[in-house]
Amino acid sequence: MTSLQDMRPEDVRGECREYYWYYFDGTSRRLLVSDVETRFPTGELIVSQTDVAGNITMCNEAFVHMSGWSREQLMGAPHSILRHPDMPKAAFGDLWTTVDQGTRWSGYVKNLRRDGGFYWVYATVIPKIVDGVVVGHTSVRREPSRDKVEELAAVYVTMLAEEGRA
Amino acid sequence: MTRQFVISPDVNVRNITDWFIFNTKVQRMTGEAFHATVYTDFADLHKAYSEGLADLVFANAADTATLVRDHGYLPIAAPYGVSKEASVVVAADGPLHALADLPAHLTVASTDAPDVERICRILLEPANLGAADLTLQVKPNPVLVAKAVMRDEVQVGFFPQDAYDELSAMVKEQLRVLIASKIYVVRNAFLASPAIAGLIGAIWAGLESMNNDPYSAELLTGLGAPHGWERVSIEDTRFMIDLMDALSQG
Repeated sequence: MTSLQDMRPEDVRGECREYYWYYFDGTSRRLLVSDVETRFPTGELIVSQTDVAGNITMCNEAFVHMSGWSREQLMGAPHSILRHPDMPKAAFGDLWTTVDQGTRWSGYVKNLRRDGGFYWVYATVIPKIVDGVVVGHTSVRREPSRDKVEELAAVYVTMLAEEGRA
Repeated sequence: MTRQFVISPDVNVRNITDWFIFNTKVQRMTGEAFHATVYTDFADLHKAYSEGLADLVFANAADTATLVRDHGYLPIAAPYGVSKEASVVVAADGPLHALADLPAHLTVASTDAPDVERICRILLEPANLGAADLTLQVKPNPVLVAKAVMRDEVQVGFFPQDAYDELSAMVKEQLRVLIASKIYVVRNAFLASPAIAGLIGAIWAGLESMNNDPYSAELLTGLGAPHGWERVSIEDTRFMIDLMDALSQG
């Protein structure tokens, strides 16, 4: 997996909190997280594709806009560049277990922007299968119901507590 | 042997003559006889697909996914820079002004264009409206969808954006767009059945020559490809298949 650079204070908008992600390969990433929400653009879709390693191979303009990164920075970067510390590990565990079985996964996800803010999406991830082999994943994200966002935000707080990350 | 050229009902049917002119061009491109049929009903179109009566197809995104994945069709080209968008429309003088105004159950009029229905259902999701919350009335064409909304027979109508734009000013005065898609990546495409795979090169060469021919400009506009055609790869269609799968409400 390509290593992700630490987030920089000069890129962050608003007051922020600091977190560190530790990866399986021993690397870590400094996250700077604010409470500034960017609402999903009504009527649009965020679309991206990754290779089997989870590196971004294609993304549309809405993805670029909402993430805050440039297209050049996103291409080849791990999709986990969007991973917000308020998302429980169990939610992503469910995602990968489902997708690895060759079936689609849908769920509500809080994504991290380059500026430290966040945006909620309703995401669907499906395996990209060529000649019977999974060669990557396609992810389509759309505007979530606000009722569902509130409901899931509370669920994720409980899950984080259970993971000892509250 | 006469080949079958099939045009989907949701494809710019106002310009039927242009499609028959285009069919003549296809015959010149390939040196083969093609019979063009502009379908006005998706049930008839899908029957033609299942009976193998569709060699060259100008298909919407949902049918593209099915034909490529399940029937081995091959992509040729798509209109350059033209995407398929859709709108959820309400009565202009009605009580629905925003998604937040929508009730927990909704009556809908729509044509049976599968990609438009899929996009519009997605547009309603932020209002907590899922597949089970909609009662759908299928109408033969967008004008009858408009009438159903104007007469309060249904609360909303699903429209392909281009069809909505083409409604008369008098009709549009009585309607209002509640929400419109800005997806940019859903589009119609030319596909070839496996039986005419050997003609793809000739058809693309002909389409490409239209791009550079000033005398074809008017025809291209009539066909819904004002900026010409661009080649569509297998990879492009795989993406469309994944996108359509992801947009279906499972």
